[in-house]
Amino acid sequence: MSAQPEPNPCVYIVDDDQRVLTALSRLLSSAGYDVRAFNSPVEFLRGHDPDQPGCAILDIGMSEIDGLTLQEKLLSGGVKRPIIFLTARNDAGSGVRAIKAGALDYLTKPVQDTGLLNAVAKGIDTDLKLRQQHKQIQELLSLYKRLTAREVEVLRLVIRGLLNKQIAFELGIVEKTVKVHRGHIMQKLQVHSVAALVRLGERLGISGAAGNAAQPQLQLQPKMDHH
Amino acid sequence: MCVLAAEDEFLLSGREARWGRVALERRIVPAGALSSAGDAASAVSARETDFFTEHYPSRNESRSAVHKRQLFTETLIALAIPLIALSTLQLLKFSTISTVESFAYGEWVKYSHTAAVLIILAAATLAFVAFGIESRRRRRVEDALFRTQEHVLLSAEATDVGLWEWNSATDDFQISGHGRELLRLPSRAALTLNSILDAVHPDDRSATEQVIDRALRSSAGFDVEFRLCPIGGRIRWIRLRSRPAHESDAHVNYMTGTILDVTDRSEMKLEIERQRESLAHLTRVGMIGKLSSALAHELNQPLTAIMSNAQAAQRIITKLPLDMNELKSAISDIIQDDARAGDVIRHLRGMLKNNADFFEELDLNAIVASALELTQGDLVARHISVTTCLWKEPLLIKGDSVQLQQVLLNLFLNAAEAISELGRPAGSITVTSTILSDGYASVGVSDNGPGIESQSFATLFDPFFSTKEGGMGLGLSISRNLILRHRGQMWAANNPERGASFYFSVPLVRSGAQ
Repeated sequence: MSAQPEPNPCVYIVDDDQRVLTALSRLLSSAGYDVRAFNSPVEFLRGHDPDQPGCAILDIGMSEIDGLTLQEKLLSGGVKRPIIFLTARNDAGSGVRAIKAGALDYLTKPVQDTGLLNAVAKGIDTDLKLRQQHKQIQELLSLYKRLTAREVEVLRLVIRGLLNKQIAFELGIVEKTVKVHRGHIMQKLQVHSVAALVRLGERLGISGAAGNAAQPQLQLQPKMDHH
Repeated sequence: MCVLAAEDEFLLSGREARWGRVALERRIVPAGALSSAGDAASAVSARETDFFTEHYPSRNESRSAVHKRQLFTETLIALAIPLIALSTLQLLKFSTISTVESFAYGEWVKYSHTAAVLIILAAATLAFVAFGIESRRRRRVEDALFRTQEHVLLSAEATDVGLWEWNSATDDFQISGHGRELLRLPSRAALTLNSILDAVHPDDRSATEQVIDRALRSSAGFDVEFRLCPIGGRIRWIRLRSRPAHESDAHVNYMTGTILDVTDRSEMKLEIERQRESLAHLTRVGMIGKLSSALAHELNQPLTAIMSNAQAAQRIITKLPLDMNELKSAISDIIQDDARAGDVIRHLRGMLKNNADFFEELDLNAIVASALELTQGDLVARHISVTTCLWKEPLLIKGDSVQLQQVLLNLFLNAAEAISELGRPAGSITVTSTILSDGYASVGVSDNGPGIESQSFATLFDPFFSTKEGGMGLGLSISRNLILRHRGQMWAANNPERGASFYFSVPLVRSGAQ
């Protein structure tokens, strides 16, 4: 997908049933995926690399740590890896819990290869997109950080849709100075139109609402559903 | 009252004494206990031993009375015989004396002659009287004996008991008329032990023979139940009992005893057994029901592995060059997982079947392992960890694998439910197996739940006792029943730190020793 020199996406599989683990690994390997199989959730937590792109297939009913708890542990560690749950018992309750906690899919064993491979493909795709967005945001953030406090104030008011005259009035400065600030902002954030500036502000999560906070309410990670 | 009356007839020491004894007996045994016809059969079996123990002393007592009278008449006869002999001698002596001599003796001879004749007459009268008394006594004894026999037979018949006596020397088997009816034997035919055994159902015959044979050799009593050869629809159950024979002669061995028709009781016993079995089966099915989602998991795991391996194989064969090794291991994994799924199903089918007891030699450790396998899924779902500490060698016992698994399943589920009751996240169950010093293997299931309340201990194994909401209270009662059938024990205790432990023991099969 992406041409960046990043490691290839892989599929983590965690199931405490060794035979199922082997079979699932074999299936995914045969479909061309790079598989990392773990027989225990504890081992998975130890061997898991958050920087490694890819998705995870977790069994729900594991004796040490069940899949849902494992998902919570990942989330609380700040890892938003797409997760596909597998369960051998048809338990709607845990399915709802899993999806609510942001699981990508919830499949019942015995699982069909098409279903699983589709979910895995979607998972990897999602993960790559997430990582890309994250990267873009980081880049924007680094640009944003170059703005001065006054420029940030001007940016907020621009996003709110105020005219230069109004901004000057709000800030108690002359209109010309506002124009200079705007020019600097456009230059620093590398945008060429007000519309692009507003979009950028949205992505960075800067609300146009008045606030005394010098820093915008930043969303470090964008929402998963994307246009 | 017949029994009592029969006994009383042995008392020959006068009417007053007889009634005195009856009165005494009446005080000891409430008359109602025997007068009601409905209670007669049970009363007889209860009274049977009493009958014999009281029967013999009373007869001995009567014998001493008889002996006293006998001694008296015998003394009379003993006195009379020498008197007659002496007098006869005297007479003979005088009859040989010559006339001269007799004349010389004069009057004295004449008197002594008369005296001898008188003495003979007196002695003869004495003897006659003695014989008269003796024969009257004999008649009374015979009369009493006859009545006694009548009463014994009557009472036996009234209580549905047949009587028998067997002489092992002549193989003559005497049996009361009612006994013949009970055994469906032709009347009046001469009987031997074999003709009795011929009436026994072929399936029970060798067992019955063995019991009688053992009793004969050890000259002990026996008590055996057997079925009769079916005549008509219903199979009749007979209970044959015998007291140890009293030997009148060192070589002649008598056995006496009773015959009782116990068909109703035996059928009831069988019915109870059947009910118990189906109850055990039902609770087993109930337990499997509780485990069903865990068992679905148990089946789904191998199915998942099979499906994924098969689909992986499908992909592998489309890719060139063919990865033969991967293909081979995929296929061999499919076979193994298929066997694993088959095991689960076989296991389940065994638990759900309603089989009669099937005792075979088993390894108790293996039973524990397979019961754990069935519950594993459920325990995992409840976040309960299981620690096993099994005896390092196989524990060979004789038992029914399904029943033992049922007991273990019940203990595991109880432990799991006790832990869930507490709502603690870190539930744990410890399963141990060991050998007890007295040749028993035992299994213990400990949990870290709330433990057993002290007032519950007494009723823990009672049916319909349950501390669980909606619990039937049958699990432990049935479990203990099953263990008792294995000639084992079941008990419970609270752990020193927390939770409760349940144990059962089953006798070990001695390898090599026996």
